Amino acid sequence: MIEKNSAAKLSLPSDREILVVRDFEAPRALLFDMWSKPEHVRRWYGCAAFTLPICEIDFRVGGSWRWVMHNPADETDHAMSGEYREIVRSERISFTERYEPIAGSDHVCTLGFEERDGVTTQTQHFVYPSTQVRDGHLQAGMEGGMEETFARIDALLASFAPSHSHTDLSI
Amino acid sequence: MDRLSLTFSALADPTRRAILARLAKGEATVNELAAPFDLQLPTVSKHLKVLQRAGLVSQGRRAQWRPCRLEAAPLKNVAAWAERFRANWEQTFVQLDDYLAEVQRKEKKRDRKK
Repeated sequence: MIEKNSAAKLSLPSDREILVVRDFEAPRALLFDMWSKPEHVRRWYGCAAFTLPICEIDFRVGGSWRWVMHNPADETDHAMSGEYREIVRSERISFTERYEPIAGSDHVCTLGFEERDGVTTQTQHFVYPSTQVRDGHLQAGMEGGMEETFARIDALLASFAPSHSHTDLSI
Repeated sequence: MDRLSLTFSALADPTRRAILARLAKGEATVNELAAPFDLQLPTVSKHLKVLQRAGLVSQGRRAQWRPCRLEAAPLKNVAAWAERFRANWEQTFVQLDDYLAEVQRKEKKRDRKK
């Protein structure tokens, strides 16, 4: 399989977790800043078409954060917030995260940064209170930037899913 | 590689997704699959091998006409959700790549001026 080395890799270590791993050509101290300084976050976070009018970060253990994405297409706002639980400079940031409109969507995200030869491997580890909450977060991704090809896969799933409902894809 | 990763890798390619979409309509031979994509047969065979390894496609045994068939089992919803979740992050990370490059270029320029 030919896969670009830098493409994000996803795995589901258990039914309450998601792990996303991605390499970046930058020192880890810079990656750490990308997540912890609003002037940086605003420049890259979220869908390309969205803006980030609110990006509050009280970067200390126990401090809170609140990021609001704005979708100019339908004038909707999407607010995420949480608290910082652990901060190890350039190495690790652990925080709680919730999508404000959905009660009980709270989960813990831990970012880890490891650097080798100028390349930083970022691990994003999401831990959820239940499989239901995790799957809800996975499905939330369905709203953003739908590709036509994925829409076709959906049609394909719909036509085949019922007869294969007992199939186990767990890992 | 675990089963889910195999499925994701197989789905990560637009040609392979198109092949699956074609097979969702019914069985097809390698020739029939190659035609709409304007691809060489060996290229189609390579894509089919990836799909077979992921358990998404099976091929009949009849010698002349060995139709390919969609095996939808690994395409459980969670796999599709997860792949899109991944793709959305990847899109965001491409923006981060660009911004990181910009920041590092500016840092270098500043260092030279010192």
